[in-house]
Amino acid sequence: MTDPATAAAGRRRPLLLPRSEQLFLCLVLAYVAVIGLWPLLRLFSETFTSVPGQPLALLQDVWSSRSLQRALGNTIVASAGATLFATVIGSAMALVIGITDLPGKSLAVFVFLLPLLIPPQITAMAWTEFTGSNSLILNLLHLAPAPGSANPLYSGYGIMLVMGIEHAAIVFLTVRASLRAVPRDLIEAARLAGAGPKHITRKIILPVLRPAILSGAALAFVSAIGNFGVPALLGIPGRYPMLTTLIYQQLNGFGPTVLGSVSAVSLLLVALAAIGLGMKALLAAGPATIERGAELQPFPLGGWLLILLPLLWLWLGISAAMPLLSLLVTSFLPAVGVPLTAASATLDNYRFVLLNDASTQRAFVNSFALAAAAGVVSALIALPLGYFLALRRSRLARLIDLLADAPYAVPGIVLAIGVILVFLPPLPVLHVSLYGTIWIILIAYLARSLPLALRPTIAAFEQLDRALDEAGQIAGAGLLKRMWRILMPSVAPSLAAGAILVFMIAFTELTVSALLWSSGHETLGVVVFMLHGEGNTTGAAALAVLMITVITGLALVMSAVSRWLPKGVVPWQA
Amino acid sequence: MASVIATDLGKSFGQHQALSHINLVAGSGEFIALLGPSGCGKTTLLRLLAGFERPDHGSIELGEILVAGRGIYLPPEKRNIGMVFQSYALWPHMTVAENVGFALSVRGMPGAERRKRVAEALELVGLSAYAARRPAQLSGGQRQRVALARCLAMRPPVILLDEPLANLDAHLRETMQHEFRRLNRELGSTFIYVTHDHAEAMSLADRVLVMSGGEVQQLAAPVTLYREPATRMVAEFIGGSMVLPVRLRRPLDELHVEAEVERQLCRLRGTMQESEAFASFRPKDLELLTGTAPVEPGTVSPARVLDVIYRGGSYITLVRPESADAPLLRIATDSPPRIGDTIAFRIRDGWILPPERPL
Amino acid sequence: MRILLATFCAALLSGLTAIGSAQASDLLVYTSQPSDQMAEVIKAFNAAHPDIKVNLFRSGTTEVMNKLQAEFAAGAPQADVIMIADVVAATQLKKDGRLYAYQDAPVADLPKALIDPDHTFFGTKMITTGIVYNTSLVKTAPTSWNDLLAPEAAKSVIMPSPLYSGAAAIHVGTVVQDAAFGWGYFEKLATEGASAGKGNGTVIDAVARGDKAYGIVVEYMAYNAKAKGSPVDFAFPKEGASIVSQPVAILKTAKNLEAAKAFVEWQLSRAAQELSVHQGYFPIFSDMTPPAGYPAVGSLKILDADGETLLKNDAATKKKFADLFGG
Repeated sequence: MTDPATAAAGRRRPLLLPRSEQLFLCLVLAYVAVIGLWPLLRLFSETFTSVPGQPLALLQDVWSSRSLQRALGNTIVASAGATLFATVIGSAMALVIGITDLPGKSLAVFVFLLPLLIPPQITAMAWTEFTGSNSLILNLLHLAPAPGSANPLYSGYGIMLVMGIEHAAIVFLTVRASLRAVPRDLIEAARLAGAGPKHITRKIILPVLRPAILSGAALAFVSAIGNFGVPALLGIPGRYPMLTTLIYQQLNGFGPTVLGSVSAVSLLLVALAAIGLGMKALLAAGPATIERGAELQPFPLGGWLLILLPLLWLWLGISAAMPLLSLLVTSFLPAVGVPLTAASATLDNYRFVLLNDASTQRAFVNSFALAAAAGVVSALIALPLGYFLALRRSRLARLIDLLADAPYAVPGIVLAIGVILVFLPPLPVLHVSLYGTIWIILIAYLARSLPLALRPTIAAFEQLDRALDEAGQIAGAGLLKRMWRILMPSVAPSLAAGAILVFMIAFTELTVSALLWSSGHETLGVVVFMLHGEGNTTGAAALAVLMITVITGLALVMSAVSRWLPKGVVPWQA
Repeated sequence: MASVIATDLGKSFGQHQALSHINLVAGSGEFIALLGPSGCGKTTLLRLLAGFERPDHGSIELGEILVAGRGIYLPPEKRNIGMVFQSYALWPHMTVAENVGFALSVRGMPGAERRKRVAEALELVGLSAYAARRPAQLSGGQRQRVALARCLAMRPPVILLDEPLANLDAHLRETMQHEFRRLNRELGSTFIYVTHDHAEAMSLADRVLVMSGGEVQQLAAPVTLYREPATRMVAEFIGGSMVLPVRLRRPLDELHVEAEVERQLCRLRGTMQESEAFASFRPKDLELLTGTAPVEPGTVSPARVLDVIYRGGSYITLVRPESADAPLLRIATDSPPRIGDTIAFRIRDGWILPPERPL
Repeated sequence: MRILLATFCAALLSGLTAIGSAQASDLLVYTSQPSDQMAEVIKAFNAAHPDIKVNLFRSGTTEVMNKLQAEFAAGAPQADVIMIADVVAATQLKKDGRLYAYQDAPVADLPKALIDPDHTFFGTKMITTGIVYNTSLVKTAPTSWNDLLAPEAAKSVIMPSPLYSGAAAIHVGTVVQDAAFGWGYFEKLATEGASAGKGNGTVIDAVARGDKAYGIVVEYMAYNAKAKGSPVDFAFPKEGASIVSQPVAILKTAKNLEAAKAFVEWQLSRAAQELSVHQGYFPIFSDMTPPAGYPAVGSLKILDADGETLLKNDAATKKKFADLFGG
């Protein structure tokens, strides 16, 4: 056994890095600073400099306004509700998938994770179709609300519901990953002591999972307060303002003259996010299982199967399948409000989107290239950063990690404006402005992608035997060589998982693209939003269906090759 | 030429002082064992030699080169040493041949020569047939040997081994111990071998560095450690000695002193010091007397038999002497007494522990 | 595996560079007109001017203005021509000195009300805002703006928010200026439970879907939806409709002045107006036939609005509206 004192000490103490490695880390720091921090700092400097000589004047003004306080209250309430909902649903699902022998797990998890792949505004759109008085499905079930009455989703509760379902996927992934790391011996020891499955779940598995559950909840909370798509589609008609829609409205209504006060509101969002992330760091730091044993065997369900299985699929049906079905129905309508019949069904929307609209075709190509680039670059940056964080415990790396989270916590709109302010003037040496090019969109994507790619990478490194890297050092390999020949192959599956996650989010992204796109550089999320805003809901639905089809196709391909991939790469591989 | 020189090494982790005042000089080709209980610092010392930690003070020279201390710090990849890790640390995505040849490819050795060296290394450990396998397909013992071959391919002057046999079963352990001795002699590389198993250290090493609490207890050949332990810790750790308080009376010659132990007079090895001292005794240094023949008072001590343990060929009798607060004693016997009997024992030999060094 | 990764990265990089390489832009237009319509506009424009390539940024008026202001703030405006919904925004730009005065524009046949006296911007449309209603839910068509104030009706009314839509900003500003209505009109709507969506698109969507019975919306969206089969119809209130003229203007910093002028001229020509009619807009020439089913241009009653007043009160109007309807 390695000397436990040394092992424990080695894990606690940061090792002093040789100068070459410090240089490497500094490069990573520079990347994070330029891409993510600088735009934010530039934007926040607007807040404090807008009233000369009175740096806090604007903050006081904005933070005491009634509309802000209402939006703040709504944001906290709705996000808390959504987080609670997401945590319960996501953890329950992770448990059901992780410790029971339920059949059809892969499919169930895939359906459960669909909200991750679908952009929030499309989800909101689909839900409004599903619950409106016009809904085909609800009318069939005689559950539709009376015509002319408000859509029940246009309310704080509607926001909680849709956001909760959307973010349950995040909680699920976090908890599931932690569940995978629970070694079999723990459970077997409990069974020998006479404990049954429910007892084991309550007394052993849940406590061990507590850090992951809290971590997932914190992530869900941060996502909720920064969510724009759902509050935009459900909150605005429902007269339920939230901080993100408040920012969007102020920008839209009053123009960049309010950049200062917009960033004052953003500071509030950042503060909330910081609280959320801080709590995550505090509460979620539990005793990590250092021992790596065999993976735990699932409990047989026996008679419970007859109850659990239909319940599960009923929930999946309502939460995921029905809204998508409604969206599909809408895409075949000639106009909103026309009932779907054999005679009225039309392919015009698809024809328009695929053939007649040059901007949509460009958007497919643009989004694909941007999302792929963001995924690859983020994974490549996550590799050394994760290494220094997990294996070398470098203090500098921890600082970079904290800074990298910043652009992710701030709403996309705010980041976009910061990026414009910074990158509109020509770059110093190259004398070329990135504004109006596709590169500026890529920069904003990269700023928000790094945390996504970093989490699975860190998890993989934490599980890696440090001796593998040390043996490489003994063999004489410097950092770059070890990174390329030893470390990357060892964590490649998690890197790939991170890259794919980034791809899926970036492919359908809206909030950042909305302000940064320019002629010829549309992205898919923007096109859907615009079509919807122009009143062409049926066209938007058709495009949304196509986007979902592409993503689902990619996901199915991943599933097909998952047999050759290590466990955990494909998130829905049970 | 001295192969490894560690001078006054010290290392702490936060409040915990892991090593202090460590001095070691290993000659070229020597087999040194670092021995001690968990937490004694032996692994920390090994990691300092490897370069995974930096010493707080002191210096390390490998060959003639200063690698740590006095402002210098050479990272592990530049020290040209080999290391066998406890977990073997074989790279799972590479074949056995790729694992063994990695260090050579890092140094830019051309393919043909590299393959030759890899083949030689594999042959040295008897795994030539497994070159194309992956670590996951090998047994524990085979992985152990691949880890060794990986070191040997580099032909380093110093090889560090971190409890390499801890995860193997007893029979395999013995085989591998022979292998290590053989390779040490054949290759002429200095071996620094960390273990907590004293029998292993005694059978393998030329000299053993016994450590406890981050400090050196004794650095000596196994025989010396066994017969003349420098401290109480060494005495108890190696060979399971019993340490008893003794009253020294007078020197008998250069090597022996008369002493009073357990109310009997006996002759002990060692040098005269203060009259109150400690001595270490092994089970075979004590003799069990069962006969009823009369004996002179002051030459034997009475005791009660508590237990008799069979050791495969001979017995250990556990007795409690009748003097107050005497510790339990273990006596080697061929014909065991009955449990509960009162017996007498005579002290035939013992070693007077040198006085405790002031800290 | 690593070779594969390296090749993939290289391919991606070259792909991105190809996409990102600066496209030679002859004319850059920022507009709030719907993109499918703009596709037709550009096509028709190119029929007359095949050598001018037109590139587009299309979004809601206020988003277009934001983008412009951000570009001004950073000192590098990109657009050559802007064509946005309302005269308020254009007046603001004129006051800031951003617009080019096109003195020789062909404005002889055009209504004076649509032309800026200093020739910095020119109206291209006559878009009216009236009442759309769902024909399955509403049996008697509304005839007056005040019909929406009835308690049963008000809670099923949706209107566009001036914070998102330039046309809505004009409409609210116009109605508020009218002595017969003033802010009291909107205050009553708010208390009775009317809601404000985002742009005109959300209004037509909600009414067509049946979520709301009544909507305040621009006429072409209602008529277009009706033509496609949505159960909606449009009514011009007897007090009059507010007008949005969708002015076109050239920026002083335009890189391609000649092309910009050609675009403005074309917008003010009969050919462009014929296309507008085809797209469901009223033509600006009173002697042209409007789209089928639309009243004659001459018969329209218009609510008067003073441009300067609209501009002066713009920010206050938006703020008060936001406060009333929950921001």
